Amino acid sequence: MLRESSAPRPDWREKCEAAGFTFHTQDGIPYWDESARFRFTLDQIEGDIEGPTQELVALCYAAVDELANDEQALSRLAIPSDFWPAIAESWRLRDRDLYGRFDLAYDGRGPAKLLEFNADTPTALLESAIVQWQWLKDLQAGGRLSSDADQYNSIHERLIAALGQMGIRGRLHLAAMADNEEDQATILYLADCAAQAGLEPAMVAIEQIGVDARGRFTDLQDRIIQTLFKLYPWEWMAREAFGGHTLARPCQFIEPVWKMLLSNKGLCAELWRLNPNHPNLLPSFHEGDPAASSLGNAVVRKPLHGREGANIEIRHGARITAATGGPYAGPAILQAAGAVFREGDRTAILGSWIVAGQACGLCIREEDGAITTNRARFIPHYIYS
Amino acid sequence: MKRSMTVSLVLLGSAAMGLSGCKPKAESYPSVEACEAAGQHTDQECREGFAAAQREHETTARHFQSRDECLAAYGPTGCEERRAEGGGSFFMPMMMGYMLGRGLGYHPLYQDPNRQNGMIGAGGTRFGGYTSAGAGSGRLADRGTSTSRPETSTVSRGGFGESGHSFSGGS
Repeated sequence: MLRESSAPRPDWREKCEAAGFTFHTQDGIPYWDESARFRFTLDQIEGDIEGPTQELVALCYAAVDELANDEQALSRLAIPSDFWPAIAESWRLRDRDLYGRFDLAYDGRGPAKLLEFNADTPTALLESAIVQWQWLKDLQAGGRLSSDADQYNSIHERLIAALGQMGIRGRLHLAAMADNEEDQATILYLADCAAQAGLEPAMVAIEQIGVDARGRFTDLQDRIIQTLFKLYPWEWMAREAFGGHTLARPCQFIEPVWKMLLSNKGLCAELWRLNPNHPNLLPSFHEGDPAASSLGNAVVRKPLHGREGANIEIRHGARITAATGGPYAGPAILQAAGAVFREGDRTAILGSWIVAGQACGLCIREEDGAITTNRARFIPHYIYS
Repeated sequence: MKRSMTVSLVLLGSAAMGLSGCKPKAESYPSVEACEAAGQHTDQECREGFAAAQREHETTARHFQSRDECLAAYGPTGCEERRAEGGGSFFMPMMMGYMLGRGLGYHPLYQDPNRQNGMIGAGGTRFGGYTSAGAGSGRLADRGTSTSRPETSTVSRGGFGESGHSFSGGS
């Protein structure tokens, strides 16, 4: 894993926008940053990242099997008790899940270790699947990367295949917050994949979803929502006015409600409890668990339902060495600090993609500090052994 | 190889319209089934073209305040009533078919008010001459749910989104 300088394509903005990736620059700060690139060997990709990701997927499914009917664990994960039966039922029926992104600590020397699992509403999808792929092809076409160079990225074809195999009948509604450009672009990309899978995508803002007299969800044209991809977290839906309507299974949800067990930082503590000393896990405990005293000097505190690097605290002994603000209170985990890629003050973490249970791609986000936030930059990668 | 051999987009950005270099030639069909039966395009193109046309229809079709204005433009059976976001309703043409052609993209077609079984594009260009043989009444084949007719009555809206706005965050 090497960070290299790389000359940006002169027309990179046009290329990004042509693919619908309009949010490449945010508040004047580049989010897509091709002035650098990461290089991996095939052994690193397959042995340290892809293999462990597949292993982590298996650990997660096994954990859901354990947790879905364990009321103490559901309490520890701060999941509202009225959702417990729905989660157990959704898992018992094996409601299919579509995708997720593990965030991994890795610095070139394996194995990668799980920082957290974005199992419910991961973004950075379009830029990982399409924009990064196009970047590689353009650099190869311009002779600036060898034609033998490769990329760990079959996300796009796997999304299309997976969407065609989820039992969706015809129409797929996709919902995100109306005024969030990044989220809207992400669901538009998934709509594109759905169309290529032979489905009929229909967009609806999450705020515009309605219910009819029978408790079924509706779109703005008063059509019944039969399958809903919602880029909106279950833990938010659960406590909102229509949250109770989801309990009667009025439609197929993607992601399914059992993913509440995985899109929760508490998962890391549960995984460590179920698989102590696993090479792809970091020691993690619920805050308040006396066993947390076994953690070493460098400890990271993360709220169970934090997002985008908010409310994270890094401690070295009694001293807080880095912290981010944010709106997320509530219970937290304590996790041993992972060995993330570091160069000067910069850090980078891996996002390892899973589609329909298959490890299939990589994205890298770089930050000018120790905590990856929503100001992180997306740096493309390639494989060359 | 650890990457996809090809990636293609059919709806997003200008990439979806990037089929340049071929001589423009448009075909029009009342339904996916008619497109597939005609054999001029692959079944996948027929399906993707339909989805793209439907999306364009939903986002760009003309809105009319009165039924009569809409009927004047799209014929006596060419319009439907839609519920407006802030209450009330409006009228817009029903999608009767779609065109697809290399270099021209995929676009919705509407009833031609002056020709029975004829179709027009959003700009009034005539497409046409399809017969009802391919698709029954000529109405866009109802693939279970593919039309935009109301299917129920909504009794309440706005029950999701509050947390996202209070955190003013995405994901």
